[in-house]
This record gives sequence, C-alpha cells and structure tokens, in this order.
Amino acid sequence: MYLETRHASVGRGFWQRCESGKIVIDNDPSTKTIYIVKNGDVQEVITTTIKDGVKEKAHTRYGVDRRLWTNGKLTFTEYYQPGTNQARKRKGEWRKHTDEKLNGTHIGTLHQYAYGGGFRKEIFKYSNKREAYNVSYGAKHAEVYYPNRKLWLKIECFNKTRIDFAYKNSIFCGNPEESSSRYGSITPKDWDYNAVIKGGDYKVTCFDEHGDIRTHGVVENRQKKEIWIEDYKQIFYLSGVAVSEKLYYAKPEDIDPQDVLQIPNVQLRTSLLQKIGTEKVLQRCNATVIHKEGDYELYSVPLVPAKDATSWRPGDTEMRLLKVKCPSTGAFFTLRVPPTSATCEEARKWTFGYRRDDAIEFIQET
Amino acid sequence: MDDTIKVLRQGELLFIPVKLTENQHQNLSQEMVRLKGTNCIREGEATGHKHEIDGTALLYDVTRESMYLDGNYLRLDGEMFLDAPDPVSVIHPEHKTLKLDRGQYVIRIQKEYDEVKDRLVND
Repeated sequence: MYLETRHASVGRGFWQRCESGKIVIDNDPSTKTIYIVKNGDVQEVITTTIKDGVKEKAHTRYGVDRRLWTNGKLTFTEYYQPGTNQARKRKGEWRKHTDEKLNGTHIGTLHQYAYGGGFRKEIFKYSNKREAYNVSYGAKHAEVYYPNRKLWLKIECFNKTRIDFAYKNSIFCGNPEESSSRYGSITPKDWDYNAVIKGGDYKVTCFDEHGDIRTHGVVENRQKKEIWIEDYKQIFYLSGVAVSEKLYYAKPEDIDPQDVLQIPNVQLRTSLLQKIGTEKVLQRCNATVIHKEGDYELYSVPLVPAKDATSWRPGDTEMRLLKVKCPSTGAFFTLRVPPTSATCEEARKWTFGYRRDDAIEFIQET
Repeated sequence: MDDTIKVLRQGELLFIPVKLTENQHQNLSQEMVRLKGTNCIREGEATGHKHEIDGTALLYDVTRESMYLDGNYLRLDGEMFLDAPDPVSVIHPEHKTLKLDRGQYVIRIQKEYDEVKDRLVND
C-alpha cells in the first residue's frame, strides 16, 4: 500500500510505500488512532478517545474481532468470520457484552451466539457465574432464574407464537426505555415479558425472590384470558377487559341482554356478548337479520323508547346493530348504526364517516 | 377517473392518505392542526391498550376540519393528522402491526350511532 498526502503546500506532501508498520494519527490530545499494517493491508485499527473524563478504546482486528473498553475495562467483544473484514462469525460465540444489566437490575455478561450467519441464541451469566437464562431466538419456551437459582420468569408460547427480541439487539437484555414494546400493561416490578413475545398466544408466570407468584396468566389471540394474578392480586378478564369478580362469575341468564347491547364501550360490550353468546343475546332481544354480507350482519332489534322521549324527539323504537369481525383477533363486535341503515356496507361506511355512494377500498386492515 | 378512496384501518382507526401540495403542507397553520407531542394515537378506555406510532413521524390533533389554505379549500375531515416523512408502523397489543408508507394521513375514529349524539368507538 502507499500513503499519499493531498492538499499539502507545494513540495511539502509525501508519497510513501508502506508494506508493514504502524501509522499513528495524533491530531488532538483527546483522540488517537493507530493503524497496524502487514503485507500491505491494514490489519488492526486502535482508536482511543477521551471525552468528559471517560476514556474509550476500540480495537478492531479484521477477520478476528472488535473490542471496546471504557476506562480500561473490557465491555464488548464482537467476533468476525475469518477471511472477511467484519462479517458476523458464522458459527459459535458472536458477541459478548460485559457489565450488562438484566431487567435493568442484575449485572452479568451476555453471550450471543450465531449459527449459519444468523443470530441463534443468547446466554446471560451473572457475575457469580450462575446462568440466568439460555434462550434461542424463535423458541417456544423460556425460563429465567435469579442469581440464587430460584425461578424468576417462565414463558410458554402456543400455536405460532415465538420468543422474539425485546430490545434492538437482545432477547432479554437492554434499557427498559428502549424496549420494543412500549405498550406494556404490566406492573413496573415485572419483566417486560410481552415484548419478548412475537404473536398472541402464551402463558407467563413471574415469581418474586421468595418464590411467590407475582404475575400469572394466559394470553390468547392477543387478549388476556380468564383469571390473572397481577402484582399478587386476582384480576378477572373477559376478552381482554378487566371486569369485576361479580360480573366475571355472573350467570349469562342473570345479565339483561338489552343492557348489554346499550353498553357504550365496545370492548366491554363484546366481552359480555361473548360471555352470554352473541346469538343468544340477539335471540333474547328478538333481533332479526336484515342484511348479510361475508362476515358482516346487520340486525334490527326492537326497542322500548327512552323514558325521556318527547313528541319532538320521540326516541328510537328500533336499534340497528352491525356485527363485524376483527381481522386480528377474529372476535366479533357489534356496532350500533343509524336505524336508517339498509345494508352492511352502508352501515359500515357510516361508521367511518362516509356516505352510501362513496367508493372506498380498504387496502390494509388489522 | 377512479374516485375510489383507498384507506387503511387498524381497529377503530381509519388512516386516509391525503395529498397536500407542498405549499399546503408547509402552511398547515395552528388554526388547522396542533402538535400532539406524543406517539400515542389513542388509548383504550377499558383495556388501556394504545395505538402507537413506531417510527419518526409527527402526530397532530385536527383543530379545524376545513379552511381556505394557500388559496384552495382544504379539508382534513378527521380527528388527527399524521405526517410521516419515512415509512412508519402503527402498533397495538391486540391488533397486528399496520405499515404505513411515507406521506400524510388523516386519522379518523370509527363512530357509533346514539339517539342523542353519535359517539366515537372506544375499546
């Protein structure tokens, strides 16, 4: 290789052959870069920077590894495939993060492994050398242990649900603020376990350090199911909606179907419809189908006019309900639509603020 | 000419792509939209589940549905306005991820009939 200067004054540049040796660039006191050349190629690059009193060093060895130090302590190692510049190692340990925090609290080392060029699994070992977990990407099962070997977290996935990355570069380790799931509905004491899940069917159990269950429950079709333990308390779920214990255990025949159809919250209404059975509710309310189209059904339900009805606002004597299917969960919802709606399409368009004649195409629905 | 309105939907949210002229886009005044300052489009009343934007985009509340802007009548007939300079995703714990191309969208919330006053669908 050759070293060549540009933009130097006339007669002050150089053009130098370099087959092996060390090139040191030391422009300012806070940054220093060293290139190590062998057989005409750069083999290693060492960069040292000092910023705000923190000394950072990066050492890259092409085809071997890259290591990072902070204040003299090794924090990260990435291994490269021999014969390449910086390609991910195809098989074996690929990355090692020291001083990593598990669930933002316990310190240890994260080892990540590759197979066939892709990410395979990760293992976290506490500073006392005990293993916290050994989990493969795409697995259906994961267990995490406390440093004292007591079980901390257990996840079992069903159907097509799999273990995924909760963080940008890791399954379990990372800054909770950078979790891929920001919509966690769990208590802060718990794992952000729903970020680890790719899909909607799983069972999770989370223990405290004494071995008592802190969280336990099943998610099906992305909705919390039946009775959960959350922060040691029982929470009752109907189609993903937390309801009172009394309502959860209420017998379907004790719930007035007319009341159910008039619940303003769609999710809660759906939960109760599912508990009683949508068909049963519609039957007990003397509902009749007036139009049907694919998964959509338009019902007419006779109503007793409201008590405060007046001659100028007589109140409806009929309720029209559109039964729709959620494309993500497969659950059926009912939406109240104007009594003038004649077809499912017209009713559906109305719910989205369109008129009967507007041509609409749903190019993506989830 | 095809007058079909192409829309995208996640649950009760409808995303209607809008084509604004460069001037209209730059001059969307505070009379028309107000920056929401969050990535959360909507939070479920009963479930607490949020529809959130994953990616870099600006989310605005629509404060005025229509006005003359840049000499033309401009209509933003919706609850919110989304300005996505790059493709973004809309995430929700129950619904599958909705992928949106770069562009501007009016976000409209599905409504339900009520004898007194129509109400927005809430979960």
